[in-house]
Amino acid sequence: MEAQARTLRRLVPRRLRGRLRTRLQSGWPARIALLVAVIGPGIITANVDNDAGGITTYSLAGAQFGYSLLWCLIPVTVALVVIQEMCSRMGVVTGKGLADLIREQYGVKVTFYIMAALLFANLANTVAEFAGVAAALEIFGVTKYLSIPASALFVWWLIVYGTYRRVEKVFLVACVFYVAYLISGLLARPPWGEVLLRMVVPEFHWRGDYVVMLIGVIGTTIAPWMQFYLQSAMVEKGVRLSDYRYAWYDVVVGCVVAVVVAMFIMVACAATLYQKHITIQSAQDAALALAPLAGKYCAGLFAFGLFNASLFAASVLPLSTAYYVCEGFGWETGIDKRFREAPQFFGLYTALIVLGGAFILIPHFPLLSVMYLSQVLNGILLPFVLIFILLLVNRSDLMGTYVNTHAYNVVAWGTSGIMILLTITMVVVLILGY
Amino acid sequence: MADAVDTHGSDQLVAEAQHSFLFFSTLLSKPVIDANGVPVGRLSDVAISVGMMFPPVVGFVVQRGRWEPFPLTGRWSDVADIEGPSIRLAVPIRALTPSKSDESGEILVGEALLDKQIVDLSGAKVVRVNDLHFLKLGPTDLRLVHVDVGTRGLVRRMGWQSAIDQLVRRVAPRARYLSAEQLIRWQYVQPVSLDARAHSIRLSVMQKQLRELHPADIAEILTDLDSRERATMFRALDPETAADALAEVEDPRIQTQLLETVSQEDAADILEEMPPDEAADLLGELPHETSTALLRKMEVEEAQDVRELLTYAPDTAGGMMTTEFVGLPADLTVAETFARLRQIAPEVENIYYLFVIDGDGRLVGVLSMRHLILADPTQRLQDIMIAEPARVHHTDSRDTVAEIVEKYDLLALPVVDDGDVLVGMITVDDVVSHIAEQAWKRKLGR
Repeated sequence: MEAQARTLRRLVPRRLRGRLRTRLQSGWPARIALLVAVIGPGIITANVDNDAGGITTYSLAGAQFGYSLLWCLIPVTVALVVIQEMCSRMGVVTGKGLADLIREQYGVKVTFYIMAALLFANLANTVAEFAGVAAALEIFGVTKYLSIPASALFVWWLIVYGTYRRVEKVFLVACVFYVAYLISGLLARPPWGEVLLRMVVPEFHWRGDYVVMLIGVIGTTIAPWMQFYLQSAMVEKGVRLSDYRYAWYDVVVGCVVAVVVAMFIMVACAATLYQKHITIQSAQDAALALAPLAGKYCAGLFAFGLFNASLFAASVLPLSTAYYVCEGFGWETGIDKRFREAPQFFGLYTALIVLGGAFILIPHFPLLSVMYLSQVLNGILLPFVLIFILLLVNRSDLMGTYVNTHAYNVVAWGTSGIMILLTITMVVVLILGY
Repeated sequence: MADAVDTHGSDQLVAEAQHSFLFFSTLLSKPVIDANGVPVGRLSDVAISVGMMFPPVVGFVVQRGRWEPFPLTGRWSDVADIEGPSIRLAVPIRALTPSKSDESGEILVGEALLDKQIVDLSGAKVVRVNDLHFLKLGPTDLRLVHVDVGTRGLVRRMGWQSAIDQLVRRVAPRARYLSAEQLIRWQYVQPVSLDARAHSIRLSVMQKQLRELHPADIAEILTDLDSRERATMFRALDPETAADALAEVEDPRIQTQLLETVSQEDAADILEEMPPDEAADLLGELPHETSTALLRKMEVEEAQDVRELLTYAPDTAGGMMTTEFVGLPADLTVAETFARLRQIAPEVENIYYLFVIDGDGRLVGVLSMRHLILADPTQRLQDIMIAEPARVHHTDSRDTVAEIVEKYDLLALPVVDDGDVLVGMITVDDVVSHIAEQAWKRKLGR
């Protein structure tokens, strides 16, 4: 009987048995190998972070407000590092995604409302990604009625047929595009003294559009969905607690890279567009920020970068949304499943892509405003997600000795408090009609 | 509540009894008053005694206070009525203990089960609990019979059941939503997020059922679980089941992670139970110090087999083969062979292919079980064997192995060393997995 069972097992072929052999001995080559193995989620998250909404929001911020928003980048970096570190720590310690934890600790009702809000915000974000694709390809003269169905189908196919892993590397390499902003920013010869000064000296303007932009910048840099994505990526990567230090490097490097890119986009736009009093009406205008580097080719360069960033995020966003919504509700997930096995998962994933693309096809759809406003939506949702992250990460029954330190809590609660205050301010300012 | 349908077929207790059912969500957060009508708080959890087939509710927890709630614990026998708008106790409020119950042999269902992942042993998959289904035997006598994992349970928890039910009845009266509750019988529920003590009580019941699952199913369940729960469940398996399941886990990262969750002694026991080639593969994934430590803890004989296999490079025939094979002398009769096979079969996994060797262990022939069964009992092996069979050298590449297996349609391929001495065999499943892996790599572009 027993022998039979064993023979039976022998005859069942094992699918997919990776024989990845990483025999790690001590010494520095091993440590580098470990670093490379652990590195990934943070850096990828950071690059997906600079998506269509990100590029647009930073461009608008630089073009409309010059250097007056630069100061927020340093506190935003600190907040970003703190928040992403908490999420990856939670992922490594508990081995669960954020949606899982919220469901298990706070029940169905809380999960439902958080997921509903996220679903809405992420649909808006997906629309923004497709808006980015449409805007970028319009520069090349491709009509959105062609580019959107084609790219939606491409994204859907990429995941469902499992070619995403290979393409992810292409996306990552194409992110080198951001160097263009760095060079452009340098070539535009901004007043560096002023730039540095305004980076460290906070200023605040009691204007509705300034507050909205501030929330947009924070919301796009610390997007709520990124936290879910990062934590799940850490879990999936199976990072061990003993290797957590390397995961921490990964997160910090990712955050710093993300914000440095944001800074150069803002500086480049401020030094070119703001200086010449050009308001950004279309992607064509935003491309002018790259003129010091690329001259008349700036539009093409910008379109390439925007297209890559949008498509990259458009392939990650609907998928990760479908994943964590299903996790929260306990529905079957996984792209290796059949549609009948995981109907909610595939349904959500497909619906997000189809709806995201469909909005763009509405004639005269304001591409740029959607890219920007979706980020404001992120900013409004962020405090709620942050509160749950903070409550969870401080639970000693989940985190053991890995709960937050007091200093950490001050920064994290401070960030949430400021975001809540800003959101209220924005609502008040908008209602009073400044 | 009696409209609930058990989709898992007949259930003795459930079928015979004319009793009603009750969902945990209808009790949860209900106001609680004591014997004198003094408000106590809201019901936040109930404890069940897990020793029985249909565990009875034996305790409860009430949250008292709105702003800074603290728990009060009481025994379920002190509950007088659960039907009314609030739960009435038979004792005054001071009879309750101001803490959370932690009796041995009991689990708090809200804490351990509700919203948590469990393993559904009947369907062999990981699911999330939306609600708990109690059988009501008396006015306050509740027994846990099912856990609810369906969409309707979610809707009920949201407090929208009557509204959504009406809507669905109007729009699609025959929708599956209305007729099929997704209930899993308690006997088939394996909780995975319990603390060790409560778990050990539940375990004795579960181990038997777990053993009846196909190892590949256990492996899939383990893969689907979160890392902590994965460890809990893996530790619950006996060494033999653990070994079979571990060999079926596809992701080497999860394999090593699982092995690291048990003590080194247990890990060594599990490795001994595994076929030596699988054990060697797994040890090869571990850090050097860990694998040597584990080898030292294993039984000498098994460790020797594995050590030998570890000396071969992983991409060669030597790295793929197992050292468990049957080698027989050429002058043995068929009848003698059967007798010997009966002796050694329990230790050797594959006896469908037999190898004939000379006095120095050199490969001279091969025969299958079919040859043996069809032959006359007095015939000698040298007369019925296939002489000079196809073979590979232990340094040959995987591709060569795959080629030869495919060309000659073999189920097992002998592996020899420089002196043509038989050192191991490769079974077709190892080759299939290699071919499948290549195909997947091409597909996934990894």
